[in-house]
Amino acid sequence: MRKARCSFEDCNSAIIDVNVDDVILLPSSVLRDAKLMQLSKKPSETQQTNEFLLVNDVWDFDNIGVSKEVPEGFTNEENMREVQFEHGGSFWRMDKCLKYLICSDCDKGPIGFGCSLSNQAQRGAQNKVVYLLSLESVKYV
Amino acid sequence: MSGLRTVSASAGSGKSYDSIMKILLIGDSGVGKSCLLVRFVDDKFNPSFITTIGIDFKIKTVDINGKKIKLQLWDTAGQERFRTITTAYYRGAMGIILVYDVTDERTFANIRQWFKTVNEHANDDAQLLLVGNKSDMETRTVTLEQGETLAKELGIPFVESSAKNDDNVNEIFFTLAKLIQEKIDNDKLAGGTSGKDSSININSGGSGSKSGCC
Repeated sequence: MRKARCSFEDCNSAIIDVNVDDVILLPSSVLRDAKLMQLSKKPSETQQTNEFLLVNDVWDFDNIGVSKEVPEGFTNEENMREVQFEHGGSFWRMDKCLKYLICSDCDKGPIGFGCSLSNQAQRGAQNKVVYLLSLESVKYV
Repeated sequence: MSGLRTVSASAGSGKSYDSIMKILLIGDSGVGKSCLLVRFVDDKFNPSFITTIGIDFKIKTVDINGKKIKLQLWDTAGQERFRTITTAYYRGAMGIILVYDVTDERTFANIRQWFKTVNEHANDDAQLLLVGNKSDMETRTVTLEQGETLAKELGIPFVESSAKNDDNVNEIFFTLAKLIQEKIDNDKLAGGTSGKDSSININSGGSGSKSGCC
């Protein structure tokens, strides 16, 4: 199984085992709108989408730092709410960016975020909180 | 036992760990508890907004005698200034690290008060560890011997640390996790449950793997 590690050579902290079934593609605007750390030299405009790992349970991480609540209006929530994606047979929409993820050992980041999702397919809107790790912001080996 | 969810890795649950331990950092403000948890070295990859927002908790995974243990580490985040650490904070804590600053005698003297508070609020079976922080500083006023004496008096283990040294910091968490695991294993044996785990050999040679480097 491939692993996500901290991208910095002198850290290389093991973040999580990546289950390919949980890798989703989001518009590259999400990296900017959520103010995530980007490693690639090329501007994200040249790429239309970026890979994210959807993590349902924070305990699935081997090593991770979780921030306190991200202040209201800090990220570009309006744009992020436009984003929809398919996972596990349902379509989800991002409602709110709740917390940032950073490397547990060297504190670099943010490399992802925790957010609330709502299910667009069902009536009475099903909600859940997940963590989205940006595979663009870590070493994915 | 509250605070510990033991999940068998072979039970097909898909969980990536053997057990979880909630660990708290306690002590006066300014003793460097946060530095044990968060470093925030000045760097372009540590945008200041993360520092401003602050860290809620960290998860670190350690390997103890072949068991994958996930530690959830919590800092009091300034609440200690008002001594208003809520009971909820202590709930389910398996390990509590009492931290003082070796360059500040007041913080050392206050450990007795913290010890009392912890005993009032925490689980009876929580494992404590006394840590004298900032041991790299030349302005030390609390000696190593004083720390050892207090630890003996309180009946808890003791180490000194320097948050400047990552290995040392990870070693503290590893040491505490190992103590908690020993306690769990001993309880299991005392409880007369299956003796299959009785061959566990606690290696005191400090050869355990560091978190994050596995």
